[in-house]
Amino acid sequence: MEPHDLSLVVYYDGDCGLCRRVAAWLDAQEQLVPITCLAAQQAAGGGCPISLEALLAQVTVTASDGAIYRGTNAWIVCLWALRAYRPWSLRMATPRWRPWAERMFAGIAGVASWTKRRRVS
Amino acid sequence: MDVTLYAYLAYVLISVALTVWVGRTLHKNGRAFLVDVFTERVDLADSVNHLLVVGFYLINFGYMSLALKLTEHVTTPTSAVEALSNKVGLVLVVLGTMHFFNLYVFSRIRRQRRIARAPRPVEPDGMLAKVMMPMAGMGDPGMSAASPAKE
Repeated sequence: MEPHDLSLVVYYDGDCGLCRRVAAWLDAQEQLVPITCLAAQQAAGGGCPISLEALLAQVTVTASDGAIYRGTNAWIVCLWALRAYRPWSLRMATPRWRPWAERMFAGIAGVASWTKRRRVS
Repeated sequence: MDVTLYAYLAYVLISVALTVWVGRTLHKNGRAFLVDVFTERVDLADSVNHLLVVGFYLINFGYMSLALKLTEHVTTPTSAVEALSNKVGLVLVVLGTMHFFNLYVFSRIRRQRRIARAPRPVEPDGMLAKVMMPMAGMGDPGMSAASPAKE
């Protein structure tokens, strides 16, 4: 049984166009568990115990009960928090579909890296 | 003329008996499903069960009365039995369809509830040491058990 006051924080790369899009999409969805999206660059300074390098390397989700999810797990937990996508998240987590989920999210991460804007400063 | 009337009477009796039998079966066995769906809300389960059964009766009795009229001319007992079996067969098919539709509704409600209650499907990759402490105290009833030790 999940704690009734569970909430999630998603750390995304604020310099990546696709990541910002996905974050906005997450915000717009109907959430069974509240999600807060934070740009990693802003969060790393303000009290996030995970280093900026680690946050930028992979999508990271932290839950209010202290659990950390990275990469594919982070995606699955985000989908699980959305009313419309929870059935998908449950399916993706099964051994049968997990490899396909890994591939799909690796593909999205690849596309995301193309949309990354290089910081001049 | 008499034969037609007897056929009608038999049709009504058989159809009503069948509908009541299926309705009671649904009411009795559907309850277990709904109690599972509405955990800790048995009153709600009984209410939904009753409402579903009422809808079932309305549709079936409605169909029954609409389908009563015999179109072919019935003169002999043989033709009456034939017409009767035709009508009752239709009622049975409608009852069966309704019954499966009800089962579908039950299983759908049950599935949706199960999904709504599903825990996170993946194991965490790590735990935040900092957040763990205040969180353990906030929602945990174990905290109140620990507090008398301080006094």
